[in-house]
Amino acid sequence: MDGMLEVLRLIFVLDELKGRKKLQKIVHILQSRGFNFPQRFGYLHYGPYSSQLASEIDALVAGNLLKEEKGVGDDYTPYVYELSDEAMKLLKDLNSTGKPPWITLAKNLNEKDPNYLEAMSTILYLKANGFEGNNLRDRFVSLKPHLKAKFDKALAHAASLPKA
Amino acid sequence: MYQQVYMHRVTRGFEVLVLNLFSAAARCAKLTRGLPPGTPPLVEKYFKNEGEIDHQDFLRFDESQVLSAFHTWAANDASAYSTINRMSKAFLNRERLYAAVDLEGQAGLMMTLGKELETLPKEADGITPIYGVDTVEDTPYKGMLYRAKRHEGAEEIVNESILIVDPDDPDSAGPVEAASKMLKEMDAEQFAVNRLYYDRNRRKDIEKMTNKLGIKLPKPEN
Repeated sequence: MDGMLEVLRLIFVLDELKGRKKLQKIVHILQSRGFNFPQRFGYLHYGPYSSQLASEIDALVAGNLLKEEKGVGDDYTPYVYELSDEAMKLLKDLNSTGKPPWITLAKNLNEKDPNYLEAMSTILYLKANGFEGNNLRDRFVSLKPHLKAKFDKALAHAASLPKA
Repeated sequence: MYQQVYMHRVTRGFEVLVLNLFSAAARCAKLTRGLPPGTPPLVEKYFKNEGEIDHQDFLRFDESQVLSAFHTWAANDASAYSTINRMSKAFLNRERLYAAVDLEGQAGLMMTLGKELETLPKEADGITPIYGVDTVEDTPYKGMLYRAKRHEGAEEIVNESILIVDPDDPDSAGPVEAASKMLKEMDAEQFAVNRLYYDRNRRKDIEKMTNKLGIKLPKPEN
């Protein structure tokens, strides 16, 4: 329940969020910096992923709190998420419309492309599991060969992220 | 059978009892007095270290250790241990301490409920909750086929399903839910249980909150 509320607050401060993958990675990055997102993450095919978060999104859409629209474009255009009027009312009722401590970081992350966020999220996951230096780089390249070119920039960016 | 057996309100009610008892024991283990005298040392260590035990201890940490602890706690009626004493007794005596009420509202009600639950009084130890909740986080089926109908893109299926493949056709990989009639039936719809469990002896404490939220509690059993 706390997880769903934090997701609503996240989309509230971002106005809109494009893509389920982007949502997964932003929540994981915020959580890895110590912010209060309670979802359980594991490492799966596309990097850190929370089935709990996916279920929460489905429940929020089914409960008419999140509007989920297919973006315009080809088959791979991401879904766009926005809050419904009901969600706005709910957040007000629960006194949850204030500025959360992660607002600046979340807005910054929302400007990045999903592949870059996938690289950062994977780096943070590997670091949390004890990988550093060359071991980190080698494991990253082995897991994400298609994101190899983003490694250095994502590593430096991940290291500079503020902590809760 | 998962929904009918493992998500049955009585089964889950006992899981809430065990979870809350573990929560009370963990809190008690960290106090100076620790858990009641006679608690198996491994159980004491487990709760004191928040479940962190070494591999050798892990191999010996089994159901018999935990049940032995429950018997010790159920036999100790000192007031300092009243919460774990009462809950251990309830478990060993197969007492249905928690009643369940299915919640008809969706995500909005669950979030409002979450806020209200924070205001409820606690067990005698001042920290253990008098309730439990089943929400989307406890959903056993992932609804692969349900989601696939709503979203193009394979990420969730690749991440969450068991993929099966015809060895003669390496491109044939697909979720097991699409290949099994039984799994297909169970998986094609969104499945979620929203349920509140509450200590039957604390009904009055719960009622104020449930009335406010329009949740009707079942009649008390004799």
